[in-house]
Amino acid sequence: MLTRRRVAAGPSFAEAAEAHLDDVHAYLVYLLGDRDLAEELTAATFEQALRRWRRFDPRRGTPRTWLCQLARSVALDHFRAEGRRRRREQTYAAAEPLEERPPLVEGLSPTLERALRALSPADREVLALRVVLELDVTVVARMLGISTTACSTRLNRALQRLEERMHDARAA
Amino acid sequence: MMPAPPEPGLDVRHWELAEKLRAAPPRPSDDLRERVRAISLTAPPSPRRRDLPPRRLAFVLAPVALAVVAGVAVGLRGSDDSRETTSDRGALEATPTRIPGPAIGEPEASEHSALSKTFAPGANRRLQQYQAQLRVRVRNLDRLGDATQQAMRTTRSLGGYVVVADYGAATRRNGESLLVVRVPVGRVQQAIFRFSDLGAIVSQRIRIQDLQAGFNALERRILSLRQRIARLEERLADPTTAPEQRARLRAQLLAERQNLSAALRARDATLRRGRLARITLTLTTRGEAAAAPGKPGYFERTLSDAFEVVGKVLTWTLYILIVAAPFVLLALLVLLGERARRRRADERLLEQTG
Repeated sequence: MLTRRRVAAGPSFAEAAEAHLDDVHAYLVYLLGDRDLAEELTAATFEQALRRWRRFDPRRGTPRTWLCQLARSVALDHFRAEGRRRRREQTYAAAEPLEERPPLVEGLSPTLERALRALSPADREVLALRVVLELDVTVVARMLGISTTACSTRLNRALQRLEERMHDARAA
Repeated sequence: MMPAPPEPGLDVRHWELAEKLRAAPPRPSDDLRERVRAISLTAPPSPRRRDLPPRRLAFVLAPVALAVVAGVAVGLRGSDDSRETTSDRGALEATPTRIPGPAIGEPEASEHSALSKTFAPGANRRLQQYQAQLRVRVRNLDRLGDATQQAMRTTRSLGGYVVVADYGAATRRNGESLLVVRVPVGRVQQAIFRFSDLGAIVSQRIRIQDLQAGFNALERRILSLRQRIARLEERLADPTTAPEQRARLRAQLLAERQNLSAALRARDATLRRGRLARITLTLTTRGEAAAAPGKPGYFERTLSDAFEVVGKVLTWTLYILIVAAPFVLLALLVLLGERARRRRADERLLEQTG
């Protein structure tokens, strides 16, 4: 009964999915640094979200934050699984030829695109949440499990590194 | 145009870069939109029977289980206590000589009648010395005088007499009178009831001492002395007894007769002690103790029992909490440590992957 009240108080799952698909997708693109993979994991996130929708409590956060947290959890699971796979298949993976990958974000300059790819997922994550999705610093800090000061520092450092990578790309 | 800063703490030289990123957000493909739309149109899974997740359920069930365990423990302990009380009372009633009564200032009027009945003199037909001490509080000095007079009249009406009567008023308000009376043992119970009605019982002490053994010894000694006197008289009556021996026998006879009369006096005194109870009654106006409470009713008893159980449950809960607190704290620390470790591992994963 409690869960029903919670869901009744907020938007329906279809409404939330429609409203926040772009945000979740953008977040995962930045976090994963791979557009195709981001599409896969976005679908996986919404599948999981549908199963857990009854647990969503509007009083504890917005649907967008909740979906991004879920997406983060899905991405972390993927990274862990990928790390295990790579460790198992280290020899093969080292010899694996690099494929031509599609652009990460349409509309970015090639220099910025390359610099963005060169960043760590942690840097790209904070850029996605704070700059692209424009989430509040307290919300992002809570999502990442860090203080607001650390969150601001992380954002500045990520932008600093992005600038440095762009400079390196131009120099090359 | 200068773009708006994403946040106040952001370095100015990064504003333009941030604006570039914000201006070109990644867009999902139409295929993904269709997939997500299809997912959202799927019927949601049937609601789970249990709304509470297991962890919350544990948080709810743990205190309940704790309370149940504490209740059972208290119940078992309580039944043990009641058994002990019963056996103690049994031991008390079986005590043949000294009956422990409540201390001064412990009103137990509700039990006095039961005690008096249990220790009613002559119940086992043995010779016993019965002594009682009563402290009764009266309202004021006027009532003190009346009560003293009434107690003396009661004593006489029961066939007894007053040994000591000491009435005194230390101040205009407070006073005390002491009466030491002797009443026939057969009517001592009646006397105690009447004295109790003079006011509120503050304390009482009843003492019974068995005199039968001493009385029996005196009887045997009297019999023995009489036999020895008879033998001495017989030898003195014999004409063959020498004059020197006769003089020695007369001296012995005199001594034995004196012993006999002493033994008879002692026996009579013992009989008197057993026949008359000694009651020391103190009537006072001082409110040194509350009036003896009446027997509590069913509601009061139930309420008292309930409070007692609640108190015991709280005590046990506190006890368990004190015992369990270090373990709970340790578990909490482990949980927090595990969460921190997992967070650090996630951060490392995101820093390294790419």
